[in-house]
Amino acid sequence: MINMKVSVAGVEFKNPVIAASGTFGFGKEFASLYDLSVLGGISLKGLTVERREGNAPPRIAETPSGMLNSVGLQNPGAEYFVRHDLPELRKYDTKLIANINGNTAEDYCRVAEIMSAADVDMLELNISCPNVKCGGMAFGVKPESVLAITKTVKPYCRKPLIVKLSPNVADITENARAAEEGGADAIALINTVSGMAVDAYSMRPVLANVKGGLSGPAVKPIALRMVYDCHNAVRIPIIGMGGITSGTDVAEFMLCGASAVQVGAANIMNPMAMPEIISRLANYLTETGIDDINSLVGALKV
Amino acid sequence: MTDALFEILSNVRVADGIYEMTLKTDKLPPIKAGQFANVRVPDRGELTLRRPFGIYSVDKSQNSIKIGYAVKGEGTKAMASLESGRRVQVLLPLGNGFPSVPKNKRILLVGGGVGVLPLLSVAETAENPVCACVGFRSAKFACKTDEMAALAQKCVVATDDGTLGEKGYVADVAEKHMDEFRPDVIFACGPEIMMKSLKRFSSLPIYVSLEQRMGCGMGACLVCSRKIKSKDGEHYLRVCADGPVFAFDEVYYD
Repeated sequence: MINMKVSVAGVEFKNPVIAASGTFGFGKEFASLYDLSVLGGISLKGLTVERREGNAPPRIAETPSGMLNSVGLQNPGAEYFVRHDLPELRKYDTKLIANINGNTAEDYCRVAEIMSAADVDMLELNISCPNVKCGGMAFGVKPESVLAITKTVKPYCRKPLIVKLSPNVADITENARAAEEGGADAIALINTVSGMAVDAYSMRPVLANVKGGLSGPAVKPIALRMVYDCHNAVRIPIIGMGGITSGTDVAEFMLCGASAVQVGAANIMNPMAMPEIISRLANYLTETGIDDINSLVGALKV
Repeated sequence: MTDALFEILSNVRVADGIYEMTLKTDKLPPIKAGQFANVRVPDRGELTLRRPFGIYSVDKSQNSIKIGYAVKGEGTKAMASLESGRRVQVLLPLGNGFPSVPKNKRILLVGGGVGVLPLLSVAETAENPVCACVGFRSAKFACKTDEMAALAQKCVVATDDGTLGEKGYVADVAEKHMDEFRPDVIFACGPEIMMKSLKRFSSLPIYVSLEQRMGCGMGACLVCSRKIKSKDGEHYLRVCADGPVFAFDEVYYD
C-alpha cells in the first residue's frame, strides 16, 4: 500500500495535491464534475473584509504555455463566504485553506480573525497578489515588510499560517526566512510572475489592467528553482506551485523540497486536471517503487 | 456539465474565414438554446486556454452538436486544419442560454456576423413563431442564411455593402421590417456596436448574448466578468456562468 498522505504544519492532507487559490473559486463549479473529496485540499479564492468587484475586463490573456490574469481579488467578502459558501464545501472530506487579503495590515488581521473563527483548516496570507493597487504584493516585496506583516497578523491566527510568497523579488530566500522569523508555520510559492501581453495591431495592452500575473507551464522552471532555493533556506514546510499539470510535475516539486503542492492554471486548461494529476502521481509512485510519498521531499540528487 | 472527448464528423468552411464543426460523443447531455462549449485545441499544448463557441445545432439522436467559429488567431487557425475523425476535448453545456418565453410570444432574432450562429439554436428549438434579421459586412461573410430562412417564418438578410440581401446595418434593416416581424421579444448576438444599436427597440424585452475572453468557462476563475446593472447597484458578473445571455438594459456597452 502506497502512502500518499502528507502533513504540513500539523495538518494532514490525504494527498499532496491542493487546488491553488484563484482558479478554483469556492469549489462548487468543479463539484459538478467530480467529487472534491479526492483532493488533498482546496485553497479558497482570496477573501477580503468587504466584497470586492475586481478589475475591469479583459482580465485574461493567453501567452505561450501560460496565461496572464488580472482578476483583482473579486470576492463576496469573508463573512458572506462563511455564511453562504463554507457549509456546502465542508461536506467534502478535504482540507480547506482560507486565502486572506487586504489593503492594510488591519484588513489582513480582521480577515485572519474571521477565518480563524470559521471551520477551515489553515490560513494562507496572500502578500503576493500582483493585481491590486494597495496591499497585496506591496507587503510581499521587501523582507522587512514580509517580516512585519507576518508578525502583525500571526497573533490573530488560531489556525496554522502559510505565507504565500511572490517571485517578483530580488532574493526569494530572504523573504522565506523573513516569513519564518515572523512566525509562519509554512510558506507557499510561487504566486504569479508579473507580466504583460501586447496587441501589436491595436497597439494596446491585452489586459485592461495593463499588467497581470503569469501562470501555467511557462513558469514551472522558475518555480522549481525557487522552491529548491527556499528548501535550503528555511526549516518550515514548503507548499510548491507554478505550472503543475501532471503527476511527475508534483514529484519534481517534492524532490526540490515541497511537502505539498498547489495546482492553479491547470484547472482552467482542463477542468479534470486535479483528479488526473492525483491518479498519475499514484502511477508514478508505483512505477518508481516508492511506498511513501514523503520520501520524495528534498530528495533531489544533485 | 460534462468534459468529454468528441470526434470531429466534419469541419467545413461555410463563409470567408468562418467554419462549421460537427462533433459527436457517446452520450450528449441536454443542451439549451444559447448555451456554449469550451473546446481544447488538440496537439497545441502551448495554447493553454480553451476556446468558447456557441452550440448552434444539436442532434440528440446522433449525440452530435455543431459549433461555428471565425478564424481569428492561433487557436482557431489550428482548429480550421483539423480533419474528420480527430478527437477534441469539450466541456459543455455552459452558460444560462436564452430564456424560454411563452409559446405564443413572437421572437425576433437579430444577429451580426458570426453572432448569427448562436441564434440558430433558438430557431431550431423554440416552439414560438420566430423571425430573423441577420446582417453581415459583405456577401462573402454571410453564413447559414439558408438554414435560418428554413427554420424561421421570415428571414431578412442585410449586408453593409449591399452585396447580399438589403443594403444597410442589421438594426436599420430590422426596423424597416418591424410591421412584418411584429416581435414580442428580441434575442440578439453580434458585435458590441450592433448590440448598442438595438436601443431603438427597447420598448420590447431584449436579450443579448455577450462575448468575453474566458478562462474556465464554468464560473470558477472570474476572468470573464463584466459590469452588469442589478437592483443593488452594478456588479461584475461572470459572462460564462451568469450569462452569456443578459437583458439588454443590464449591460454597459463599450
